[in-house]
Amino acid sequence: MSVAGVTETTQYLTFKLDDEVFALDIAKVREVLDFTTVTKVPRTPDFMRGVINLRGSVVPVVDMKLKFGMSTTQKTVNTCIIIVEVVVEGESAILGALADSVQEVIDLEPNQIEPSPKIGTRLKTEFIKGMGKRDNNFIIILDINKVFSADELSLVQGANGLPAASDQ
Amino acid sequence: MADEMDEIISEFVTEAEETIEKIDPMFVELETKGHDKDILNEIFRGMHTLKGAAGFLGFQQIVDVAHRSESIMKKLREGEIALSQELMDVVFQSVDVLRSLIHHVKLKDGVEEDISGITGRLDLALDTAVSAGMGGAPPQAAAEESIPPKASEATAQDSSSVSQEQQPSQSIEVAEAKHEEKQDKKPAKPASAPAAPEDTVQQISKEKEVVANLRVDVNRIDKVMDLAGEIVLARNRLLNLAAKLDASYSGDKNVESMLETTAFLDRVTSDLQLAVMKMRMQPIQKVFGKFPRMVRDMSRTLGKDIDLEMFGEETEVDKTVIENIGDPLVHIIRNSIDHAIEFSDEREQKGKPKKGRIILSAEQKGTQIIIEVADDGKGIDVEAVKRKAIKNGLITEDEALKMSDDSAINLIFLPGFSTKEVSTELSGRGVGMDVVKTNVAKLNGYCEVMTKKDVGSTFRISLPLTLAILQAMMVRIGEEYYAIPQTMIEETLRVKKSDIKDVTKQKVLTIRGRVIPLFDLSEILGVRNRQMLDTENRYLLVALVGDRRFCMSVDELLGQEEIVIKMINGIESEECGILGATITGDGRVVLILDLAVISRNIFTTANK
Repeated sequence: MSVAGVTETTQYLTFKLDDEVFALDIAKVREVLDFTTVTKVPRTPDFMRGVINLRGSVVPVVDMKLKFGMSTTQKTVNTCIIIVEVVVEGESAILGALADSVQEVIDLEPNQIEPSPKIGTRLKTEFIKGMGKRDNNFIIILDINKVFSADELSLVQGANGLPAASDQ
Repeated sequence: MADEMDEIISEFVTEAEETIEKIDPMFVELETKGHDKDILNEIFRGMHTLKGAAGFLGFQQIVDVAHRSESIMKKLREGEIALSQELMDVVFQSVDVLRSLIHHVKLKDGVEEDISGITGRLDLALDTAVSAGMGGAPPQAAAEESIPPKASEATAQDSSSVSQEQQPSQSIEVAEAKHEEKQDKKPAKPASAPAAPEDTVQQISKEKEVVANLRVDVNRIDKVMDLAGEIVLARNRLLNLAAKLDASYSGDKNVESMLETTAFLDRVTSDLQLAVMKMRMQPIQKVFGKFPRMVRDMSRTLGKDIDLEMFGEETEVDKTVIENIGDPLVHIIRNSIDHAIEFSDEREQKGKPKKGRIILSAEQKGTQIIIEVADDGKGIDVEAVKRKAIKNGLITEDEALKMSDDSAINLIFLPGFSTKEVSTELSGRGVGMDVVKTNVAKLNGYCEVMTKKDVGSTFRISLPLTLAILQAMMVRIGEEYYAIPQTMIEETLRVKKSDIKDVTKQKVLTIRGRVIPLFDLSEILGVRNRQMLDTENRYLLVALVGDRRFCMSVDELLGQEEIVIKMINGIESEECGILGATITGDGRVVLILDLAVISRNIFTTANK
């Protein structure tokens, strides 16, 4: 499984979507922002919440909960935008990911990570790099490049294409 | 290690391309001016550098071709052979071959062209020129002659592609090149004593140039530009705040010194933005440089006699303009040569100078760059244009009668138009002028034609100085703001609800006797999540995209603004009808609509 790639202690940023704890390889995370005004881009899938101004760059923000089949992320004091650096079609891109709250940075040994289960999760298994074990709780470690792959970003867009045009 | 090699090679390719670009117009100049020592020196040096660098990296084919051209240049420079038509033709061919060889190196496709033809022709041309010019070849030429067989040997090795053997042959070549250099210098100096000091002066000034210039990745400049834009926004906010503070605490010492500081910051920021913008600017010479050769080749093929004059090559334009303006200019110039300028005897009958003339010029006027292509050909026949447009079904006869000459001439920019009955292979596939219009529109510019029968035509392209800043109309739809590029908006209107009519489920509006379809922008964008307020007055934009005119209704018109275009990475925004985004003074992201895509979308669905 994909855990084969994990051979040394890595730091992870943990965050919550609803009550579930997820984690991202810290090397992929650029910064964490407060939830700000998001400008919705027309004709994009629902999980694409819109774009924000990141010090002069326009950065798309993805609602991970919608992407993973949960409900829309509501704005609270804890809502954050995690700015990640992903590789889309061989080019690195900066994207924002919405999280209900950001928790902490943790160290995980390779032996604390198990392969992702084949069933019993709402997520596509390919999104999951592995399951981190900590204090009898499981942390879902995401493979952020897979979550934000070009296929995933455009897939729904094609199906959703030109909604207004069909109304004419 | 491999990366390092790649870097060296790509450096070589850039430099080689630059050299070729520099040399190419010089050949044309040489041809028109005749024997000019300065030009010859310059070309010789260029070829020599190219040969040296190629030899060092082991690109044997380039060395072979460059070496022969260089030999010819050297002999020309020393006056041993005379400039002739045949000689120039072969040299021109060699430049073309070099260009394609360099291209192969760039693509790393490993394709090897058959260069035996060109090397043979070069040798032959040199031989004939030498024997014709001097009778008996001087001993030095004999030494030169001894090199070609060796080089062709190397070519043979290349084709058998024995990589092991290439290694030694490469080092030999380097040694050979060095040796030649010495050989070159020795006879050159005593032979042309007056040229020598001048030579060194130029050499020195060249070295200085190298120190003063720095190759920088465009992405880095763009990043600096982004950041400068951010400072501009921060400054705007600060100025705003300072003005407010001044209003509430006027007379306070601290507020006053803050006002001074913000005023200073204001000036510095404007200068900074300008300086960064200038970093992206390049002289338009980069585009113009290829035209002398093109005009020469084309007019010769057609048997016409045409001079190309260029002005304002030093005018600086944005890098994006350099990249996109080439094609439109090629099409316009081709058209001038092919369709507009008459053959010499026809010109004489009309009492015009025998030689046709095309003037290519560029200049900066305020915030605009004006590029003009003027010819002294026969002008555009308005009636012929109309007839053709009717025949091609672009307009009806009625429309043709009502049409003004100006708008009739603009018909040539429509897709599928070509006035010449028989299209030639050079131009007249009926796409040319269409390309001009679209490419210029892409750069947010516009194109005009002025023409007078038998006097000539002038194509004028006006472009904004920078593409990073755009004039846009800000509108509001529901809660969101959008920016629409000004270039595509004809007018803005406020109409009464009762003025809008329904024709077969399509809303239309009659403006000055013209029926124009109306669309709701919130519907087009699919953001209709809010009940449309059923107000008495509607705000409309009339857009003209290509030849399609349509109205769009918005909730509010907020006025014009200068905006900075930013790309959105990670969203396929083109498909959504979004050109990009901009950030307003208060830090808000506003999307810029791409009316070209929107018009395509609404009209394709309307036709279904």
